[in-house]
Amino acid sequence: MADDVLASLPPAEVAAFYSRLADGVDARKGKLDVSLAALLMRLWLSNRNAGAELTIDAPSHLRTHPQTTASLLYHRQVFLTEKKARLGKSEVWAGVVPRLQGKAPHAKWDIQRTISMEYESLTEFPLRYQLTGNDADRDLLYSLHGFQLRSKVTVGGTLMPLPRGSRGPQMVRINFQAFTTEARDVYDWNYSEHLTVPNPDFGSAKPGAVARESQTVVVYHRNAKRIEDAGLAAPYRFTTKAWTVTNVAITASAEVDATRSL
Amino acid sequence: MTDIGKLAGRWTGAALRFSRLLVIACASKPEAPPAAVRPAAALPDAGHSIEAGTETIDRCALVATVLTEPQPALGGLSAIERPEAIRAKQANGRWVVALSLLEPEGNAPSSLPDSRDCGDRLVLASEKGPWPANVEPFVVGLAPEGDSAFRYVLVLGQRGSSPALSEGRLERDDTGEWRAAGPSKKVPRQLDVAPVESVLPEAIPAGQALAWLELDTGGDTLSVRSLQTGLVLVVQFGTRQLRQVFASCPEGSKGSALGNFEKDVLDRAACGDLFRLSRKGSPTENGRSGPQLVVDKHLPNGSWQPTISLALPTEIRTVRNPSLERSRPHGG
Repeated sequence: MADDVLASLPPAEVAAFYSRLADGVDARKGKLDVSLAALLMRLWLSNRNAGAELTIDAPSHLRTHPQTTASLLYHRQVFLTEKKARLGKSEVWAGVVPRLQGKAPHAKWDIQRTISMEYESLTEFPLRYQLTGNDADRDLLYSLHGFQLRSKVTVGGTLMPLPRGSRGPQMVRINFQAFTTEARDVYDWNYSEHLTVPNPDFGSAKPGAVARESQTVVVYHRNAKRIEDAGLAAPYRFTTKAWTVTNVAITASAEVDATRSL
Repeated sequence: MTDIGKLAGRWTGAALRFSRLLVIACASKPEAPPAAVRPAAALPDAGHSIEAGTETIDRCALVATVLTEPQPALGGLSAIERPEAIRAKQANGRWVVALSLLEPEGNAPSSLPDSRDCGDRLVLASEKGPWPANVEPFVVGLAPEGDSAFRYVLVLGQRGSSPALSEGRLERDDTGEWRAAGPSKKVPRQLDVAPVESVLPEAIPAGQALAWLELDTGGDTLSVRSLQTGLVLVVQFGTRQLRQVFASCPEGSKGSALGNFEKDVLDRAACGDLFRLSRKGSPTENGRSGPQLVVDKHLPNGSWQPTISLALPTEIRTVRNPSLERSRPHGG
């Protein structure tokens, strides 16, 4: 590609350009405490182990983003058997009600003790954020795009008394005694892709500046492979430190119908 | 008339008036420069009034006009499956683009020259506001993709709820005309026909193996293309790690919420189908071979069909899922 401004550079100079790119992203983080996109790119540049599993702090704009909240609300609904868990082609009831009924593959839960459950599902920051998003939206799109949000809960159950003479359903109050979540993703590239990005070297007089006359440059990700092949960066998997979900809309207790037909 | 009905009515009127605008903007004055240029991408605030026509954002100066028939759902609006025709012209080094649902597919009279001068920029196109606080106007984004295609993103919807979002590609066909390729689908992840082996930095204790299912959402770093999620079998023993992507799906999920891990079941995950990973056999039952790891797929009739079978070395005595053990203290 004629516009691949990095094609003629040796890997070390390409790596230096990516480092300046991360600095440029960081400089434009706006009101964010930290640019996750810059942080992850720097980790990629400093990593030398392609099998590495790194742990990072979950930035506040990830923890509080509406997309994250929407996923956590969905997780709550799955745990409470209010919504089916998405399998891809189909959906299946999961969570507490099949356990209260002892419906395979769920072991019978007699609510005498707490149970723990995990659920993880895809969360995506939509591509429209590159067009319509705020600082947080774009940072999360360019750093995570699609990732798995994994929630772990410990729940207790309490039988709700039936009104005398009532033939109503047996309700059980479910209390979330613990609700934590973490994000998991892989930082690696599709080497056949490219993206137009703000040029960190625009207007720079420093030696080695790339396309200094251009405000933006097209970065072809095949250059990322060149850096990795030269041992100057490596892909990695990462998990954020788990955080406790405190949003009461997600952690509030709820009543479920233990006898409901699934 | 309900609020939804009123809203639909407004959009009907907007669309019709917009039709006329297209004629003016594209047919009569194709060379017209964009109406306004703004340095940053943002939706107008609630109630913000946009002049009828177009509003262009940033340097690329794309001008887009969307024509759509009234959409009955989504509070008066619904997802636009795809624009059926695209018209585009370059005027004074700037693009004039029109997407239309009213034209038959392929009726795109003009061709787009090389798109490289045009960055990935946003165009807002909207009927004159003010809009109800919960309604977003049209948003159209175009990003050059390769030499002969654009990716488009079309947003139409309500604030505070999932917007009607259409994504796709505009690409030149054999006749040189530009066509909408329809909503983009996530690119399926490449599957491995056999496990891919790598070396672990630290050895797993002798006689032990770790095994689990993992959902892979990688491959989308700084990417405008969405990859499907991959379902991966991961096995580690000694200093060896085996990874095999064996399923690809738009959205995967996993966890004990899907079902308890009864004896010998190590993991459970969904990716298109429901899968479980279990160990079968042991050195004590069969002195000559190590344990087998089996990935089964759940069939509609309730039975399980083996999908992957992996024999572990004879010296392996225990196989465990490290994540599962961490989650077991409270049962479930």
